[in-house]
Formats: sequence, C-alpha cells, structure tokens
Amino acid sequence: MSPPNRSRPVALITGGTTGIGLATARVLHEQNFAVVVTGQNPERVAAARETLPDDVIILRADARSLSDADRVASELRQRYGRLDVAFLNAGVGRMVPLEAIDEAFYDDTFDVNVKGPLFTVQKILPLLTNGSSVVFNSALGVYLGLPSYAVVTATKGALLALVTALSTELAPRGIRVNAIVPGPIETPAWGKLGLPAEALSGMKDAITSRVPLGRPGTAEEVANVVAFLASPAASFITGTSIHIDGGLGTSFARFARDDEARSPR
Amino acid sequence: MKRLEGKTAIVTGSARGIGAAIAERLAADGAAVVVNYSKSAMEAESVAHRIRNAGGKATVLKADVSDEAQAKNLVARTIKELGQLDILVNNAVAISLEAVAAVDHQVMRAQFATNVHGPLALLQAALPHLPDGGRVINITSLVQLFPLPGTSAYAGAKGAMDAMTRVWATELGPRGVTVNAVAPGPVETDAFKANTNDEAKQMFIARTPLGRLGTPADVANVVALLASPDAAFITGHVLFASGGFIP
Repeated sequence: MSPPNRSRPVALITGGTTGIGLATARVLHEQNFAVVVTGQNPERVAAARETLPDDVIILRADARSLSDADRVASELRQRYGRLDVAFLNAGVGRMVPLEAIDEAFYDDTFDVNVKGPLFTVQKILPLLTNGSSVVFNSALGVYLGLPSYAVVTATKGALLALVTALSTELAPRGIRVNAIVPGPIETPAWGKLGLPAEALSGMKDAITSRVPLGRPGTAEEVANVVAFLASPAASFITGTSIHIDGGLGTSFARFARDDEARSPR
Repeated sequence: MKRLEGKTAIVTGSARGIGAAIAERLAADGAAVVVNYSKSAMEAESVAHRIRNAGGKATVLKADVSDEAQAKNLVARTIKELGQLDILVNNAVAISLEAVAAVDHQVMRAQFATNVHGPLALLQAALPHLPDGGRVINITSLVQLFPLPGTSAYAGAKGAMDAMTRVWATELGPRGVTVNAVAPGPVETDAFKANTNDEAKQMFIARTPLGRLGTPADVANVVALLASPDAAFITGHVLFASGGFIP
C-alpha cells in the first residue's frame, strides 16, 4: 500500500521534458515522489505530457527568467507547501569557437545554466525540508576540456563552485547540495550543439571510442544516480559530485581499448 | 526481486566497522557475501550470523589479504564454495600513525601490502571470474585531499589505491567491469575511537557541514549504489561520503 498523498515527498526537476530530466521525472515518480517538472519549449512540453504519468505536474517556465522561478516556487508552495528534492537540470549547450563568442551568447548561456539554477534554489529555499537534496547537473567537460565549448564549460564549472559554497551554507538546515557530472549520454542535447549531422556523428564516435565502458550512457543511468542522491541512502553525502561517465574522466582510455583489441582477454 | 539477487560479493576485512556494515548491506540487497577476516574470527561469525538471521547468505572465510598467496586463495575458495564472483570490495585496512621521522619501514610495507598488493592480488585472481557487469569497489580515504600529520604510510597507500582505481577502470571497462572508490571522511568505528581523542573528534565534527561523524552505514549505502545496476555507467570515480568535510 502506498502512503497517503500528504506524506509523498515532492521533487522539482527543471528542464524535465526531455533527456536526463525526463528520465529523472519517471524514476522519481516510480519511487513515489510527487513530481513537478518545468520546460520551456511548447512542443516538448506537449510531448512530455503524452509520455509522463498524469499526476506529474508540468509547468511552462523559462530557466533564465527570475519571475518564472518565482511562479514555480509559488506553485510548489500552494500545491504541496514543501520540497524534498530539487534537480537543477535545465541547461543549454552550444559549441562556439572562441572567436565567435559574442556577448549575447555568453549572457544567455550563463543566464540559463547558472543564474537560473542559483535563483531557483534561492526562491525554493523556504520550501526545502530538513533532509532535502539539491542536485545540480554539471558536465565532464569541466575536467576534460572540449574545443569550442568554453562558455558552456565555464557555466558547468560555476555549478561545481555553487555546490562547494551552498553545501556548507545550507548544511545547518539539513539540506544537502551535490552535483552529478555526466559524460557522454545519449540525449537530444547532442542535437542542440549546433553541429552539422556529419560532424556531430564524427564527434560522438570519437568521444565514445574513448569511454572505457565503450558506449555512451543512457538518461536512465543518470536518473538513477540523481534518485540515489535524493534518497536517505545518501544522507551523509554533501558538497561533492558523482561522475557518470563510463570512465571517460580517467582519460587515455582509448589506449587501453586499443590494447584490449590487440591482445586476447 | 532484490537488486543484487544472484550476485556473489567478497568484502575484505568485514568482521568489524565499515566492512561489516558493507557486508550486511550487500547481503540485504540479495548478494551472497563472503565475510572475510584475518584475526577477528568471532566478530566475523557474528556478522555472518546477523546476515543469516536477516534472511541473507553469508560465508565466513579467513585470509590475511596482505599476503599474496592468502589473497589469491580467498578468491579460489570463494569460487569453490559459491561458484562465482561478481563484486569485490577491497575494504581491509591497517591504521598507523607516525611522524615522518619515525615512520617504520616495516609499517610502510605493511600498509602497502594491505592496501596495494592485497587488492592487486585479489583482482588478479578474480579477473578470470568477474563477469560482464562485475564490480570492483575500493574503500579509500579523504586523506588524499586532507593531509593529516602522521599519515605518511596510510595516506601513501590510500593514494596508491585511488590511482589504481582509475587505472583499473580504463583496463577493465572494455569488458564491462566497473572500478570505483569510496572515500569516507572520519567514520566512527572502533579503530577511529582507538586512534582519536575527544579534541580531534570535535575538530572533525566542526569541519563537517552535516555536523556529525560518518557512520559505517553511510559508507555501506554508497558501496551498495556502486554495486548495483543503477551505477552501470559510473567507473573510475572516487566518491566522497564525508558529510561535506572541509580540510
């Protein structure tokens, strides 16, 4: 028997209509969370409405808008009066070489990837319960370096700095703050990098060939780790990050794979 | 079905403390667990007893993993008795505290025997048996980030373990075996109590944002994640279970 609704823990997932956010919405819903997701693009919101369970709330909200963040916080307050998990997942990532970076691109990327998450946490803070979990979605690029990805990488590095700072600031209230650091994950985000199809597939192959586990990860494999960080099993984990990258962060994996191919097991 | 049903795990040094909590947790998740000890036979039996009372499967095997032959024999006996090996948790540890001028090379060798040669010998013996989806989990330490005075031998050996973790991840990735480390901060175990005065304990707590020492269960929960299918895409990672501990 499932517990009554009033004791259901509540989760907010920004950017929850596709990819990792969508998978996390499904996983947390299966684990009996009341789930609220945000999304901006009307078609993706509509598509998510088709696939997500009926009791998952989908809010139209722009991750860069502080007034939208206010609206999301006020929805949560009115509906549930509390929040147990905040997955700050919404983000943008376009590949732009240094020479082509302009102020508008820089501002917009920081607005969506850093300003939005920071102010969202600020606005939902009164709702976050003792024992609640805040999870930022960073990226492995912070450690590896990817050409033409400077601005996006800088925003993802800023999120790790937020984890360090906010985890200590919020610990006295029993709020844990961590990040996930995904490597190459099979999601629609690849298609938004702004690369021609051929270049995209070449880059995907090049990256995947360096993953020790020999494949890109799935959105579910990331969602499961977010669910772990959201759970009481992670009650002593704060101020850190978990890499979900098939070992790519260990680098030079390509050479290990080449050796493996040369020598029998 | 429990998430580790049908899997077999060795947890080295699991008669007490963190190892015991890991063994109990993996057993609760459905794994058949080898409770390994080198000296604490009675404690190991009581861990196994608790596991069986809770409906789990436990086999007690004695082996001092700092000895290469005994480490390899531990794997051989596990295969003989349980038929398979899916999860290897390198937890056995020796604590030593000595100022650098006084570091006994015998102690240094013992640290490396337990933390480096032992896990290496176990992995070498386990390699032919670890299946696709196999797991190697090394219990290391926050000392790699927080150099405490007096830990030359301990931190040196644990640092080597973290380094091997990353290397093994690259070598074993192609066959679908993940290798990760869990790095606890201060955890309130018997060994911790024996080596820490109250002043040091309060200092540790003061520097931990969550305001308490870690528990063996805190570490076991993270090992359980890494052992589970949920962690299928995590490898080569050192995961801190430290309550946000800041040096």
